[in-house]
Amino acid sequence: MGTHAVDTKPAILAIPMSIPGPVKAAGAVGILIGLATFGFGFAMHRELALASFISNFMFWAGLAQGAVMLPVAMTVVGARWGRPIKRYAEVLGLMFPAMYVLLMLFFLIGGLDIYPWMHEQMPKHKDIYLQPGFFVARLAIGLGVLGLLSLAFIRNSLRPDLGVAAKVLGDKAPAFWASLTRNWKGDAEEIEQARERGVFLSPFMALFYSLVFSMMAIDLSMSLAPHWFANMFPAWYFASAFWSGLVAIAILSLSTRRWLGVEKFITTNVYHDLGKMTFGFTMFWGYTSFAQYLAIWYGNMTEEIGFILLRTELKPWSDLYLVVVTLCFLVPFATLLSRGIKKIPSAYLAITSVIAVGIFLERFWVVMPSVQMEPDLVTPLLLTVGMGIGFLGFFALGTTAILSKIPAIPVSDPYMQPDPNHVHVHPKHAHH
Amino acid sequence: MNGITYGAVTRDILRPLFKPSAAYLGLLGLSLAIMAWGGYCWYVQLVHGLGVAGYQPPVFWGVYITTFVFWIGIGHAGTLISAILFLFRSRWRTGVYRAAEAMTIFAVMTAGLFPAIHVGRAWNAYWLFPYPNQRELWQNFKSPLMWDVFAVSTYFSVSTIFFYIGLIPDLAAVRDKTSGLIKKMYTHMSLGWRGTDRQWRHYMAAYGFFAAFATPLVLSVHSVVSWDFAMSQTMGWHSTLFPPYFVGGAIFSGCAMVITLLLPLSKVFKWDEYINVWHFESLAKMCLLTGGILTYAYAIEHYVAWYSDNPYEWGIFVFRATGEDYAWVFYMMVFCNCIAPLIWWVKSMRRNLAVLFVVSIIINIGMWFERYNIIASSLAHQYDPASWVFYAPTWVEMGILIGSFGWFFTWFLLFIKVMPSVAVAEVKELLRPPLKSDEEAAA
Repeated sequence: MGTHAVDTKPAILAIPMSIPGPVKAAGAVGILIGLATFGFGFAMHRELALASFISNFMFWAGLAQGAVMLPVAMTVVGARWGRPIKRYAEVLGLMFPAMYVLLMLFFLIGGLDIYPWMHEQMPKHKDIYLQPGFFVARLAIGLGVLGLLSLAFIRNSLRPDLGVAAKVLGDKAPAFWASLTRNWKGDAEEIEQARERGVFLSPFMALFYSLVFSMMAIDLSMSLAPHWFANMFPAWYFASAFWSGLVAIAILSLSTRRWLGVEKFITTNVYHDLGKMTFGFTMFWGYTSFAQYLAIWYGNMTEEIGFILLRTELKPWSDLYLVVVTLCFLVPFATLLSRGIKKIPSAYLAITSVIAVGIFLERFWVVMPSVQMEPDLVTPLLLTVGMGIGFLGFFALGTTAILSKIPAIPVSDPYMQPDPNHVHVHPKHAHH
Repeated sequence: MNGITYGAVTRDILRPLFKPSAAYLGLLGLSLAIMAWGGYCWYVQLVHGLGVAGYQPPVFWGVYITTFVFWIGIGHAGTLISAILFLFRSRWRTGVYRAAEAMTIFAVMTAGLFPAIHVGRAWNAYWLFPYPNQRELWQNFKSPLMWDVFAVSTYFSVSTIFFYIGLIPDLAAVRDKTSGLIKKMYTHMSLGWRGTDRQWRHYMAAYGFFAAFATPLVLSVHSVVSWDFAMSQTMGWHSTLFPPYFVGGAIFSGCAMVITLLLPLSKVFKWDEYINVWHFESLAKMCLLTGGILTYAYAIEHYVAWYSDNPYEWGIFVFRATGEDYAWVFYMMVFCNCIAPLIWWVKSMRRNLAVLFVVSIIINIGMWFERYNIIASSLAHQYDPASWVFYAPTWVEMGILIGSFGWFFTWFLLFIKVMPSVAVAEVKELLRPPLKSDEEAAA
């Protein structure tokens, strides 16, 4: 495969090594708002605060792990178009272990109390499956192993970049790089080894992601309404978590690429491709949501219909439903159809932000009606948004802190192209 | 493909269009004979009525609906490969997409026979379509069966148009190689194609447009087919996951069928330069992905049925796996669709032509059994134990099922004879253009 040599040196030299003061301050304020909201909620509306956490967890943990699944998927299929944004996906993925720790803390402070099956006698099978010890253990192990696999994947991808960048930076390279590039075997060998390991790890991660996230969807979210079940629900969640990851990669990269000096590497063509993929997943979300809704609505069976009626036909949830459909489907569908708009960074940033808000509200709309029995939308919404601001601050601070100390593009990647269309494929290699 | 000239491509790919070999005629004869047998079985049913099928209350959906869904599923790979992979700029589609598209159209044509066979009085099958009539009688538009009529006919129309658009430059290539009446025929079919810049520009725009138009249809048609089942309150059918699960299964069986069809074809016509192990390996990878989706769907379906604590829902899944009537069907399905394809995780196995061929056939068998497992067992084992029966197909039903393969292969073999089975123009795009320096070097 013929490739142009891309000079990634400017991107290495541009690594800022520190976060701008305003980002630090804003992040800290966000975290404080989140903590205060949770504290206040926990004291005043304990159930709603705990449910708000679950709603946020489904959004933020899904987004973090969903993002890292993009480079995983690209490795499986051998795609090259998204190489320039790979690092952003990985940095978001590094936030997943933090979410894991928060979930364990949530269990420790008695978060399981909001699950009705903790207080009711459940029928035979659910009684076996929804045992608190088993519940916590399988989530701790499943999400833990998934997190470790992701860390291995990210470390493997980062290593050759750090090694190559360290040579350019010399003494200025941060100290922790040395431990990540120990026993360096030389550029070519390291790059090849990382590629091989990535190719080996990726299919297992894809498999594991779908299984663990299915379990997470059933356990954390679906079992809040323990008498309801739908076999689309797990796939509906993990596909939309991947979608939220795509959206987050766009938002993070568009807002930091200039600061990190990688603007010329992440061209508008990359966003065009990412936009097409986001559009595809918007359609997929619409498709799976409709398919799930239609079968239940049409079947009209006692054990299923309540979940749907509560969320789509009873106020206040039915109003929120319209907002969710508008933000998650109508707006992105109408706008992302245009080729041009995906190539205008500010417009694309605006659209992806709308989708992110939509998915955030969708998580809320799925989780909260199972817990909030009053017709009051404002209190749980304020709690969830307040905590969401905390997570936003945490993610902003965390991701920028990491990005400020590592190369923001895969500098050692031989296929790293500013524009995939520039890669010339010689017919001789057409059948590799 | 290094060193191949444009002329050689045209010659190699158009070769089957000229002198038919004895093997070809033999295969065609065999297909016609199988089709004739199926035709005879249908004739028996038309004369004696649906009583010759193994139906007994409450089971009135059996082999015919199973086979209908099976062929619709086969018809998925063609448009997926030609349209979706075109939009993905996937290069391996070039060698295989034409034959896959033809396969799609013939598979949908085969599937289209089955509603007519299934309703018994086939001469009234046009009642499926809404048309203005004096009695102001209309179909039940609230029924998913009616949605299916629209979904399948739309899919068939768009796939055919897309197929034809792809053929135009190649039909012109055939026109240029023939003479007399045949040339005249291809001249009409190639719609005045001359290959000018202007024509290519418009052509590519139209092709891209139809690819985008066909893409959602790949998803919609089998989703709607799945709703024939999922909209009902029958246990084992009423499932929210059915649409993506059916689409995944359809692509799985379709890609396997492409391997089954193209592997012998590429060997017989010595098309190794155009369709080779790289293409088959890519198809096998598609099967791995979709087979994985299917296995996931089976697992989650069973799991949620267990979790639901609904005795009827869980009961049907237990019955499928342990009831003496249908358990073997269930295990055939699991073996063929979930276990056998796992061998393709090993690279050398998905590059081994014999393994590819055998596993692709196993998958096709498994996918027929999957539909049979869903349809027959759920109807034979409904809520009220007093209504439990055992449905087994009769020789007439099996004869029509086998005959449908004869019908399908007859069309496919005729296609090979009259149309280029590999896209000539697109293969040429992969070649290095001839240069003046080459001529000088050769001189």
